[in-house]
Amino acid sequence: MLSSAANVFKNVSISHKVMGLVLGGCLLVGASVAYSNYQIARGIAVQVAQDELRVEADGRVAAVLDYLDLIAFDMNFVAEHPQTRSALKSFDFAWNVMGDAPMQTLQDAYIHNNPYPVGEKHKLVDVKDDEVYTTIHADNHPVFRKLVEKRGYYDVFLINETGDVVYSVFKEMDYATNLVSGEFAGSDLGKAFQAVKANPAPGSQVFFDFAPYAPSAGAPASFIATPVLDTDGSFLGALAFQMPHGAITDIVRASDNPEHHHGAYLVGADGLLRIDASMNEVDDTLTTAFDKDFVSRVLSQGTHTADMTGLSGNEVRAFGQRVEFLGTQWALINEQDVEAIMAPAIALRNNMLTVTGIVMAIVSALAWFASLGFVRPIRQLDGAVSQLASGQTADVPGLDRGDELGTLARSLDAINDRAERNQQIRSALDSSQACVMLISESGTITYANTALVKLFARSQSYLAGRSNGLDVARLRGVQADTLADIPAFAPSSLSGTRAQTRTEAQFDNRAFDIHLSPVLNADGEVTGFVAEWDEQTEKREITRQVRQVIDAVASGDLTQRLDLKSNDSFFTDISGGVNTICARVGEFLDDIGATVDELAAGNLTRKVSGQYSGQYQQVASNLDNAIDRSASLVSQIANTARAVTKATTGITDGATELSRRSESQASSLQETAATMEEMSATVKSSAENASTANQMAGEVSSRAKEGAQVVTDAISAMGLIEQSSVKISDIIAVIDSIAFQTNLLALNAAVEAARAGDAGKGFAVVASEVRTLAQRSSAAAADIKELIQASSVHVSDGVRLVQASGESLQAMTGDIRDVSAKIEEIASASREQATGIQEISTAVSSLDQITQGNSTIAEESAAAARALTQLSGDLDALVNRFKISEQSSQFDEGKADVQWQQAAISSPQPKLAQPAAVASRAPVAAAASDWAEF
Amino acid sequence: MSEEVKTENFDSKQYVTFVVGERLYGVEITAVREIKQWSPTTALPNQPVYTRGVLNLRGTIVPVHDLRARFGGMLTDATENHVIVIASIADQAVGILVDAVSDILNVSPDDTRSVPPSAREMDLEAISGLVARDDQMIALLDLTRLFPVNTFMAA
Repeated sequence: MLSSAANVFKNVSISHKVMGLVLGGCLLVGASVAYSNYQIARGIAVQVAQDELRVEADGRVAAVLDYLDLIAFDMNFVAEHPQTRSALKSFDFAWNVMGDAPMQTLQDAYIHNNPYPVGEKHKLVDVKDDEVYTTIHADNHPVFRKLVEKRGYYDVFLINETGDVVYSVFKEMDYATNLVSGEFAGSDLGKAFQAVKANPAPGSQVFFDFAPYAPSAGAPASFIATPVLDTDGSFLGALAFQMPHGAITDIVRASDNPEHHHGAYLVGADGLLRIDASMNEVDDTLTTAFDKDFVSRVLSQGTHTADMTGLSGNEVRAFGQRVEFLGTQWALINEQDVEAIMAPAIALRNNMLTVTGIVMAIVSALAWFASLGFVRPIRQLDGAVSQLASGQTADVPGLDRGDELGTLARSLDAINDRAERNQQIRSALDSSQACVMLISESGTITYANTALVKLFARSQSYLAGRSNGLDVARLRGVQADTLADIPAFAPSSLSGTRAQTRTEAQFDNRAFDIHLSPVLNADGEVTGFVAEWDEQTEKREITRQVRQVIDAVASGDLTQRLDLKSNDSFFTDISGGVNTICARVGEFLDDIGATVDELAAGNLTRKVSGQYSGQYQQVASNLDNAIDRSASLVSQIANTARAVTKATTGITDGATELSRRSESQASSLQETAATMEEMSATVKSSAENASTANQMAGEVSSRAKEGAQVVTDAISAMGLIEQSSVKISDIIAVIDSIAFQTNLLALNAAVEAARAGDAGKGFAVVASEVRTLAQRSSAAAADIKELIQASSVHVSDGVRLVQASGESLQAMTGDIRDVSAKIEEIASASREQATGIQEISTAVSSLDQITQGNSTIAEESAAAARALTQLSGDLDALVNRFKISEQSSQFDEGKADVQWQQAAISSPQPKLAQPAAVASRAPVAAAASDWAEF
Repeated sequence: MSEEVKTENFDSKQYVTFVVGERLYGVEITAVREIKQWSPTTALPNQPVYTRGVLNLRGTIVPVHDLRARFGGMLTDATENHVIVIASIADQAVGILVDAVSDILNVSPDDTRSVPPSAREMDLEAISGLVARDDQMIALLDLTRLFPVNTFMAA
């Protein structure tokens, strides 16, 4: 392990070692100082925080107790004040004279009918009725309201001896209730009153801790109460304050710092918070529970400290102190985040780490520069030595240094000079064009220059085959006589060679002259040989080829060429000259031959293309003149033929177009004629239909008139029925009257019969019968009367309906008359249309005949033009067999047109006058547009 | 049926019944002289509010009283269909205006119910009894109490 670490250490560079040692030392010192300082700072921070928490809690407790004592003093002062006493007496009196249900009356007046919204009920001073209570309230309310507003109490209550809340400032739902027997007797306010009443000692006070209070909509409420005593010490009732929750909260939280998670709050013995702590978002009052064990320790020991999870949810240090007021115990808890306490220590630690980092950076920079001072020269020397070792020359640095490194550099420079001189000789041999080889005494190759290696490279495969896997680039150490069967290189013949010798050698179809010379040392002894290679292969090859080409030219074959690639300029000049002569003569003969061939094929554009001199030029210009004259002749013929063709094409197009339009016109006219006939029939038919409709309308009109007459008759018949009904009614009235009289007569008869006593009994029966008949006839008359009335109603309904239908018929008659008139107009219009259409139809028919004639004539002229076009095309084709030059074949269109027109106008034949007009462009367009319009 | 016949034979009395409004009243037939159709009357000065005036009945001047008005109602709007019952009260003929005469009834004393006493209803002294017929009560009138002759005379 140790040895391997030592090995690693050996392999690390010196500069790294130096830097490592310096940095390691710095890091060790910096880290140990930072750690010890951090630990000390941490201890101090905890102690300081603990003391701060304790001092602050002391201050909050004192402030809360001061405030509560002030309230207690306030309470006693108010309770013993003469105005309080007289107010309570007055309210009690007013309460007792108020009647049966004072609670309902007061709650209606001061709560339900109070115009102010909930929470502002105390603004109502005077309800302006004639109750005694109203006057007393108006007198006392401003005083108590002022007390509440000044002191910030939640509410102030006056309670009479029997427990009725005769007055409260804010008039919540506990107002005017009874605290002994009423709805809120069990509430803390009720309990407070009951406790005061049980022991009404002067100046005694009872206090009830914060608890949800129903009349204040379940808001947390705490009460303090004291007895109100008369001057003789008798119990008048009680004064109670509802404690100011907000003010106590503000006092406890006075030194809170939410940014640093630091705050105080009150906790009851049940572990629930009494105020809303500032560290969290929710309303904690009586809802958030605190660690009960912690609270009980505070209450039993007076103070307690612990680390725990605070209300903000963070780790905190909490300090609790007991608060006691009128028998109620609270714990005031002051908490602060551990993170905030530790913040200074952490800041110190971070600061020290930063400083250590900066020092480390500076020290490492210094160490790096120091190490560079002696490591860089060593590295440079190392680079120079490596270059020398690989056979190259190098610049040795540090020659001017006076230390050990300077000495080392100067020795290296001397070695470098010697190596440089050897390198010069070797590169001179390598760049020489002569092919040189050094051979040792024993016949192995010790050196081959670059030219020789190139020479051998051409026969690489041959040499490789002779001596297994021989690489011409690596000839050193090869036995020289194995390259070829060269006897001079055999070790036996070399040993006797003392002067320069020349030897011919041949391999791979190549011929060489080899000059071999011994190399002597300073003592004149042979230490090796120099062999110079001279290749003879090209010289022999060119002699053979020149002979072959001269034979071919003599027999008329000019295509033979000397094919020779040589570096020798003499050989190149000879072969180039022979090849040029052959090429020029061959080229001239080819040119003449090609031109004559083209002429035979009708191409008059081909000239003798080459530039020649002497006899060549004479022959070429004679041939060119002959071709030019022929071309000029053919060109004139071709121009004339093209002009003819173009003109006839124009005639044909015009004639064809005329023919086509005439046909189209004829067919359009036929369609028009057919359509006109259909239209004529349709119009006639609609005229007939209109007549029929008119007739029918007349019939309908006369029927409607008859209907109107029927209606009139029906109305008069109805009137007669109505009159009859009236008469019948009169008659019925008479009958009814008669029946009434008869009844009376019968009654009188009955009376007379009764007077007659027994003698009148028979008569009484008759009278009774008569009376019955009279009553029946009266009933019948009433029935008839009813029926008549009903029929009368029906008759008037009938009259109304008949009248309505009569009016409808009247309106119909008028409408029908209008319809009839309209139909008559339609009929006459249709007749006029029919006449007009007949005239149009006749005109179209005659037009059709004319157009048919035109069409036939146009067809004939088109056929004649087509025949002409055919003929001129034939002529053109004949001329086009000759190819002539662009310049002489250009067709002058304008000129041709003019010439042709002149010819046409001067022509005596009338038939050609028409096509002549077609040929000039403007008249064609005019004629075409005329026909299109037609 | 037989019982009804029996009662007729004994003490049963005949009553003329008539209608005022929806109420039925009865008068003993022997007190009735005549029944006649309404005819206009001649008004007299200072006559009682329920008196319509006098009527010349075949030479006899007969005062006519409105029974509806007598019982505290409005004056009857008399038409030809209204009836005057001429009755004799203490031998004096008196006309009573009613809406209609409905029937002649036989009533036995057993069917008659007495009027329940009441301090305030003074006029009930003029009703001698009540008879139940066909779900309706018929008040039998004592005309001498209803229209005291001396009262009229004094008037």
